[in-house]
Amino acid sequence: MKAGDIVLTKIPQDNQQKIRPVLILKVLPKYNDYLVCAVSSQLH
Amino acid sequence: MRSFCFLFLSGQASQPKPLCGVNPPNFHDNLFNSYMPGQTNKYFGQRPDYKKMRLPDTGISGKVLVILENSLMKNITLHIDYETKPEKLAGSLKSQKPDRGDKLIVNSVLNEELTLIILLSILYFWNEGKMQYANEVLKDIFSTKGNKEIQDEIAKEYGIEIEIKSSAEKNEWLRFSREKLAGAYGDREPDYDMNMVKEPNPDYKQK
Repeated sequence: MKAGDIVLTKIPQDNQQKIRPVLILKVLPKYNDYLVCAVSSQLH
Repeated sequence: MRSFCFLFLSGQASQPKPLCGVNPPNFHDNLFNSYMPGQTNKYFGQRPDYKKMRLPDTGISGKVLVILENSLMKNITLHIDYETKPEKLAGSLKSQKPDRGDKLIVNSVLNEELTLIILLSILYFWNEGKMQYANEVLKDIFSTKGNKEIQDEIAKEYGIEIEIKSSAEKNEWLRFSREKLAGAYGDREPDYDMNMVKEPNPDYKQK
């Protein structure tokens, strides 16, 4: 996985976890954590 | 255990003899002025219950190192959350036997003002003789005095250092974050299934 990929991952919502698509923004150094942005069809 | 206290005493090689007790004024001077520079508690007056010691017979010349376990200043930690009962915390405080020079660390999910009020209740239960003082501080909390100033005054009155670690702001950000994240999806929006992916990544190898 690399920055720019869209992947499915579990996101906490209402005290449970649901699978949602997220956009990988950056792989953070040291622990290789991923900075992501959740993708939603809901418009605000 | 916050720090070690070292007391250096001289012995004589030719005439070994036991040393019984320690002179209180020298004890305090040596312990907190000479051998702990920068580590003394700024609210510390004089610990009244100095520990009498008896050193074993020794022929060692020079310096004898003594660690005064019962006289070490200690850290006492209290946790305050939304279901905290002051009398229970006061019991916890009493059981840890706070003494002058100790440090009281208060971890709280509440903001500093509310934490100070609860802390005051705790200290009141701990030492009911200071009821009048507690009333005065309560007035200060509702006046223009700053939290830090009130905190310092309480610390001086009780002879203990106080550190409040409030996580109220962090919790508020987490709550805000959860709320916005929940709002990003519909209430009954199901999990995003693999079958809903319109353009699968050809490089992705499904396990």
